[in-house]
Amino acid sequence: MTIAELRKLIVDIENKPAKTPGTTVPGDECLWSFGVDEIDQALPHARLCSRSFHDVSAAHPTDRSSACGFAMALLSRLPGEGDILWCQLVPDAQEYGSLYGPGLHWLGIDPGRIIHVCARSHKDLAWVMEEAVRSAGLRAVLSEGPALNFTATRRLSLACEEAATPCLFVNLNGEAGASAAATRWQVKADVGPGDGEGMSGPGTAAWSISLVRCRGGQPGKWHLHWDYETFSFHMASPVRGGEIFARPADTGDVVAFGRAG
Amino acid sequence: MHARRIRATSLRLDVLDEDVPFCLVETGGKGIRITAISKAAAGHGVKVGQPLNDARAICPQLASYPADSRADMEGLKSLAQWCDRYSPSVSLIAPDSIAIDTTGCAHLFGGEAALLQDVMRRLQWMKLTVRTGLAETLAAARAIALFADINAIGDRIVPHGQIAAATNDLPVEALDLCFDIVVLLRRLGLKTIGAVAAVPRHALARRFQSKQAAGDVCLRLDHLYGRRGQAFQPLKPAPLYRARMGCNDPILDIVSLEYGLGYLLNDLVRQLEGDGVGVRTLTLTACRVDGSTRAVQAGLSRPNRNPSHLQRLLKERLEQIDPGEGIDTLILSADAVQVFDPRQKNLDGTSTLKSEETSVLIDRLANRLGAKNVYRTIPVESHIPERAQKPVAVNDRTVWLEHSIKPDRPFRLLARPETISAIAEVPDGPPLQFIWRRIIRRVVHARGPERIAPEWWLQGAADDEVRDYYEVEDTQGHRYWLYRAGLYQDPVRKGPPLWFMHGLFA
Repeated sequence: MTIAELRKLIVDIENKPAKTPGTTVPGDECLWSFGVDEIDQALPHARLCSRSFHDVSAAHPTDRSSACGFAMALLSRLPGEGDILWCQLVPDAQEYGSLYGPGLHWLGIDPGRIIHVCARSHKDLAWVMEEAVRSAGLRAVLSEGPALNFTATRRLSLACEEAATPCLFVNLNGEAGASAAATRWQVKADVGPGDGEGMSGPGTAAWSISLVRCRGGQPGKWHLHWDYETFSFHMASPVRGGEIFARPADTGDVVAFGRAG
Repeated sequence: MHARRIRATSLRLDVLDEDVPFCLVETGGKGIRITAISKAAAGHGVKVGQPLNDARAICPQLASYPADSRADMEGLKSLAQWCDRYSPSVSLIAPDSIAIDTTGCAHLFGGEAALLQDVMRRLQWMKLTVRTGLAETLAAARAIALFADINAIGDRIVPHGQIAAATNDLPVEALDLCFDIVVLLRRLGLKTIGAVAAVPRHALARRFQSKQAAGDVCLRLDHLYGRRGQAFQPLKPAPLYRARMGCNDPILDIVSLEYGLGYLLNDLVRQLEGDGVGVRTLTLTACRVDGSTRAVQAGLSRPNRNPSHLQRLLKERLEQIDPGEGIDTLILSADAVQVFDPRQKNLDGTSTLKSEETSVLIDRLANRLGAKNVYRTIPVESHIPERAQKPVAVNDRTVWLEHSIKPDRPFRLLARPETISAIAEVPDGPPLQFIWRRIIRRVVHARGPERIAPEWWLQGAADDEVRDYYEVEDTQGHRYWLYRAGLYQDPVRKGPPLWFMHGLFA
C-alpha cells in the first residue's frame, strides 16, 4: 500500500472532506452557509456541515449575548423546518436572561420553533444536548454554558454525525480547551454602523468573528453585519464597522469638465 | 344488594409488648383521659376513656405517654397505602381502621381466607395487633372485625347472604352509633344487633324521642345488611389500568427491580392496547416488607404505550426507590390515560413520526429536569415586555403572528430588570453613560424613547410607572435595552426616576 493510498484511507476513515469546494459531502445534502463568499470559501465545501457539532465562544465574558445572537443568526440560515431545542443552565437564565420571542424574529427565527430547556447542572446540560441530538425529531440543537470537556464534545460530535442533526454550543467562558468540534468560532461584538439618522440609533448587529479551528478549512477573521430585513450576513469594512455603508452624502458625482474654449 | 366484598382491618399499636401497663393519654375539657392501653394495662382493669387519675388508683404503676393523633393518622395512612398491594381501592376509617374493597382481588392471593391470612401474617410481622373481618358490606366487615370474638380466620369471613346470622349476637356498639343512642338502646334492653333488628321499624321509631335518632338506627341497620349503599371513599381513585406483581423473595437490588418493571410494563401495555389508549401518567409503587411504600411517577407529554419508552422513563427514577428491608410487591398503574392510535396521521397527511420522536424526547427531558423546565413560549397580548410571552407545554405550539413581533425588541430578556445608575439628559434624553454590574459603559448610539404605559386595568398594576425604553450601544459594540421608570418632572414622585437594564441585543 502506498503512502497516497494510506492517506486516502485516513481521509475516508475521518470522513474528512477533500479540499475541493463544490463537491458534495455524502449525506449532507442541505446547504448551510453564511451566504458571504469570503467566509464560505474558508469552509470545506463552502458550507457548514449540518451533521456536526460546532463551537461558538465568546471572546470576552461580556460578549456572551453577541456570541449567542450570532449562533442564532447562523441557525436561521439552516434550511428546513422543525423545532430547535435551546438549552441553558438555570443560573445563566437568571443572570443573562433567556430567549425572548418578540425579539427573536429579528434574527430570522420563528419563536414558536424554540423548545426551551433549563438544566440544573453542567452534567444535565451535556446530557440534554446529547439526548436532543440523538432524537430524530429536532432540526437543530443550540445550547449555552461553561466549556464542555473533550469527552463530551467528542460524544456530541459522534451523536451529531449519527443522527444528522447539527448542534451549536455557545461556550460562555471562552476557554480554548481541547474540543472535537468541527468548527470553532470566536465572536466579539463590533461597534455597529448606526442607523445614520439624526439620533444616530444603533443599526444592525455587528460582530467580529474568527474561525479558530476548522477541519479541512482555513482559519480567518471577518467583520460581519446582520441584515434585519433579509436575514443575511454582510461583510463590513475591516477597518471600522459601518464606514462602507455610511458614505458621506456630499461626495457628489464626478463631472467631466469640458475643454475650455 | 351489594356485590362488593369488603373487609375492614382494625389495628391497635402495642408500643410496649411487655408486662408494664402502659397507656396513651390526651388532655381534654374533662382532664386527662386515656385514649389507648396496652394488653398489660387491660389486664389490670384500665379502660379506654377513663380519667388517668382513676386508672392510676386501680393500677399505680401505669405508665402514660401523650397521644399524638396526627402521627397516628399519618401512620395509618402510610399503612393504607401499603394495602394497595391487596386492592387498588383502599379507604381510611378514622381513627384506627382500614377498609379494603377486595372485589375481584381475592383470587390473586388464593381465595378470601388466604388473603385474610396474608394480611394477618404480614401485619403481625410488623408487630401490629390486628383484627380482621370480611363481609359483603363495609358495616358488617367492620362489626365483625371490631366486635366478633372469634379466633379462626375462616369464621371471620361472612359467607354470601349470611350477614344477619353472623352479626345477630354482636353488641349494639358494633352498629357504629353515637354514644347516647347506644345507651338508650341498652336501657331498652336491646343489647345485640339481632335484638334491634327484630324490632319492627315503626315500633323502633316510637321508642326514640327524636326522629333522627330512630332514622340513624335504621340507616346503620340498612348499611349492615346492604339494603342501602354506604359511601366508600378510597384514598385515591382506583386507576383504570393496573399491573401487580408479588415477589416470593423480597427485592433488594435494582436489577431485579428493572426486571419487575419490564414484566409489569408488558402486562400493562397489553391492557392499554386492548382499549386503544396510551398512558399520560405512570406510577410505580413499591410495597416494602416493613409496611411502607415508595412510589415514582413519570409524566408523558403525549399518550404513549411503547414499552421501551415507558421503561426508559421509569428506569431513570428507579434508583430513587429505597428498598429498605426489601420490596415484596410492585404495582404499576396508569393513572391518566388518553385515546391513542399510533397509526393516526396528522391532519395535513404527514406522518406523526417526527413529532412522535420529539414527544419521546420531551418526556425524557421533563422527567429528569422537571416539567416546568421544558417548555415552549406563546405570545400574550400585552405591551409590558415581560408579559408579552409566557411558557406553555411543548405540545401547545402556537403561531407567532406578525403583530406579536414588535420592533426593536431584544432577543434576550433578563429574568428581572436590574437597577443601573445612568447619566442622562433631562427630561427624556437617552443615557450618555451608565453603570451596569459595576462596569461603566459609555453610550455611542442610542434610540428612543419608546414609551410603555402601565396596564392599569390589571390588578396590582396601578402603582406601576410609565417606562421609557431606549436601545443603546456602548463603545464595545454591546447593545442594551434599558428603561427609565417614571418621569423627571413628576410632581408626585420623590427624587429622580430610576433606570433599569432589561434586555440584551445580539
